[in-house]
Amino acid sequence: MTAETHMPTRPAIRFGRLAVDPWAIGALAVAVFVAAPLFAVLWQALSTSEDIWGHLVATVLPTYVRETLLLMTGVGIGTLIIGTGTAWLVTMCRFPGQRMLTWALLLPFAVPAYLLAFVATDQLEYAGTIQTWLRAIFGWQRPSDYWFPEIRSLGGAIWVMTLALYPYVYLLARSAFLEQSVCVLEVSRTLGKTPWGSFWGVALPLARPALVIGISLALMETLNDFGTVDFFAVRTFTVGIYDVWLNMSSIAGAAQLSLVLMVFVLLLIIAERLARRGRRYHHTTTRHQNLPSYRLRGGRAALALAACALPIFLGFVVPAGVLIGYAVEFHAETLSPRYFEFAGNSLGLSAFAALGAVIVGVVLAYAVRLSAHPAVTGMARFASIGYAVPASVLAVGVILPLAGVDEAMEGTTTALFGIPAPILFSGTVAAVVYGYLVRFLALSHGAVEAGLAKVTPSMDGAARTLGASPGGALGRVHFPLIRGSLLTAALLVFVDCMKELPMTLVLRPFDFDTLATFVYQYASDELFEEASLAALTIVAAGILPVILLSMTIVNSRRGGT
Amino acid sequence: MAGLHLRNVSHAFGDHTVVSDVSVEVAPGELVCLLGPSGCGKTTLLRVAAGLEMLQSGRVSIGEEVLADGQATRHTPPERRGVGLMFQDFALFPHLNVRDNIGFGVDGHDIERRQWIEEALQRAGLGPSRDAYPHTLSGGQQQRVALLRALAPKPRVMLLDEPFSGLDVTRRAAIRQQTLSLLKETEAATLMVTHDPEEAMFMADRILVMLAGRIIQDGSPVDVYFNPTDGFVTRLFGTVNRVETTVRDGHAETPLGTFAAPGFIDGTRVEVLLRPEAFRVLDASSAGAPVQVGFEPACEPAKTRLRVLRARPLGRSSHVEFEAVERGDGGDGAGLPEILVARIPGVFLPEAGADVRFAIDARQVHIFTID
Repeated sequence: MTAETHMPTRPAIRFGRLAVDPWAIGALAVAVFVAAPLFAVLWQALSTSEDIWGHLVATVLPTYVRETLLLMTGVGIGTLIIGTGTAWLVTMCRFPGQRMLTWALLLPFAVPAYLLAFVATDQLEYAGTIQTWLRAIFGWQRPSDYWFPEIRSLGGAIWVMTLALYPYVYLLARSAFLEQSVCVLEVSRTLGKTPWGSFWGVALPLARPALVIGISLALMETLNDFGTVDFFAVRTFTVGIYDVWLNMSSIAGAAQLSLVLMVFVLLLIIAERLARRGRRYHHTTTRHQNLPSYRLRGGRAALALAACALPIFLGFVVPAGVLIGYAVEFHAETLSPRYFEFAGNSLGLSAFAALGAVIVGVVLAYAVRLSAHPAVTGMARFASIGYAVPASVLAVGVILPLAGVDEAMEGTTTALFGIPAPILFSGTVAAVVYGYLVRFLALSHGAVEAGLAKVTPSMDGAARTLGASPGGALGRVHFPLIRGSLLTAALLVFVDCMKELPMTLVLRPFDFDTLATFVYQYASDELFEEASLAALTIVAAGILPVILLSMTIVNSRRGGT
Repeated sequence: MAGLHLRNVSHAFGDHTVVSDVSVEVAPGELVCLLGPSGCGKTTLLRVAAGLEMLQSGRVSIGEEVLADGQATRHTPPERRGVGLMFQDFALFPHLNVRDNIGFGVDGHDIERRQWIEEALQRAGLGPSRDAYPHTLSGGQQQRVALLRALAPKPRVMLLDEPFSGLDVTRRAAIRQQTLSLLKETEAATLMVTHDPEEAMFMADRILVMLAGRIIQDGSPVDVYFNPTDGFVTRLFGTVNRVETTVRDGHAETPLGTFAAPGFIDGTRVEVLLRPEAFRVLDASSAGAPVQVGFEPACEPAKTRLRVLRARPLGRSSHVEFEAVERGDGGDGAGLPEILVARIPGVFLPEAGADVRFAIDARQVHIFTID
């Protein structure tokens, strides 16, 4: 009755005569599973006896810090301007094409940053289409005849990542503008502010928490990226970790760099959490059905349309177009048995990881539902931080414990049977799936949690008092009711696994390629055209969640907002 | 014989105690109502009995079988308690049709219970809707499905959480009647939670009035109405007219009459609570009111004349507001409230300003000490 807390308060972990709740044990197992790589990195970084740290500080660390900060600043400003600007235009203004743009602005989500980097380089380098074309028009002969910006640079990386990541800010800014009460905006107008003044004075400050969240997410992705910065030879932390680890063969050094990188991530997580907390207090009234719509005509409408279409054009239409062109032109090379083998690898790995992530996500979300015990809630929260941890850090973290397990198993079987056990984990597909699970668990957990939240707790009570065990209730009541959320969860994880590059690159078995690693290697060898079909397949998979997001956006508008 | 026993149950959410040291006994076939305002802990008690809330202190048992005790060494999960729980929102499974909803808790091979379900569907008029999904049903039908679903596994104990609050007022009376007869057919011990006193009076064999986590009265409906233990219980059934006075010679003297106050020491400050139903009209001086109610032995003519302020028909009774015109001997100056409210059976609509003489039914007057 009181506080209407109809959540059952069953103590999760109790050590009495009563059996311990298996669901809480499951949540604990998941938390340990996720924590292992992080603690491995921590332990490795702090326990090493070599004086790598001093060496790192003296040599590469200042570069890594500077380049990473510059990249983050650039991407932060870029995504803020594009994401917020387009969100404001399509939400608050009415102009031709505005409805279509609301979902089309998400399309660049389908193109991973590293693919965009490959396409941009392919088009903009000296031998690329644009410069060839310019030389033909103006009759230039040598590079010294004219100036053209170098795409493979820090600036290029900022551009590419901004175009690939602005949809994070766009999504959050848009929902923030939608949530804003029409009243405050109208009050601002009646108090003599222009639409432009209302934007700066009212709408933008109100949307600030949402913008912080969006930029934090975009920057977490920036820190996670490996393909772009590596290809553009920008010396950020991600590149540094791999360099120290694989070229200097110092996993301890890589772990120490990872630790520094995690400080950046931690700051972003804190910024995001604080912004989320602040968000709650920002709604003064609940009336926000009708948004003011500034009707734009003529030149202003054309300008708005162009401003919104440009990021879509550069971030999606051009790369997709170029890839389609190459795929058709070089179909003899691209449609090889290799393509099918790598596509099969990608599909298999992603499907397996998606299934695993959904199962683990369900265990976590259901354990929290069964027990409001703070320990279980805390474990579930902790298990979702994998998404913020850069793939390079996770890769180091996954290698360490798996190698440990393999060593232990080898020792055991040698002692028992006189033969070493085969290496089961490190350098096998299991390691890749483990990495995927840790990194993408937050996605499936979030989707399952959102689905379960829509099932009223009295359903649980009804099922239980009618004789269903917790597992029985899950199977007979919850699963049928949250089928859609389970599918969404699986799809989100599946697509992110298809796109994943940095972890796959180092964790995969020898001579085992996925579409992403295949494209990366061919692009590095200047054979991008031959991998175009593989790249196109990744983009095609990436469109699925965009469609899903678009549908939510369209539905939310139908719902009155 | 099985029956529900809650002994010395206490429950808190964090620092907030919602149930403190409550004991409830429900015999097989008995229907007990927990009556109280929202937030008094009655739903929590129900959830503790069902096992949905972990017992923190006390003991829950059905018959001789202890289901949970406060030492946390025993907690029979809800699915093994043999308890039927009907939720306020009915909690029908939206993905199952009527028959599958009702059959959810019944083993598919249990021919006897399957048979029972078929018969119950027919009797409840749900036969034609057996394949329908919950969202297509009316509120009343949903309520019946929820009730049958809870009864289908033949529970030893039935728990009902505000079973009628989700229903249209006009349909409530009929559905109450049906529910009562269905429950009375079973031998289950039934504990029902409600905040509606009329509902409790209609359904219950026994009423437990709860306030702030404690049971403040345990008695039959007649008891609770005619012998309320305090002002709170008295007011459960609606607003009352309150007069403060001091007890003299075992009597509480008020401008409206002098009432026996046995058990009070002389000089005690008391509040005299008169239900609106306590008023009996003797005559109305001005025209418009053909009233002469039969004079009951318990009634005492009041000393004060009252002037009508407003009268409204409510259907079966009339709501009349008065103010005092001429003070009777008001004892030690005990003041009457500015407006007195009376509920007169039938149609009684005197014009505003009319003078009315009346008597007071002493059974509907309750006297309590003022702290």
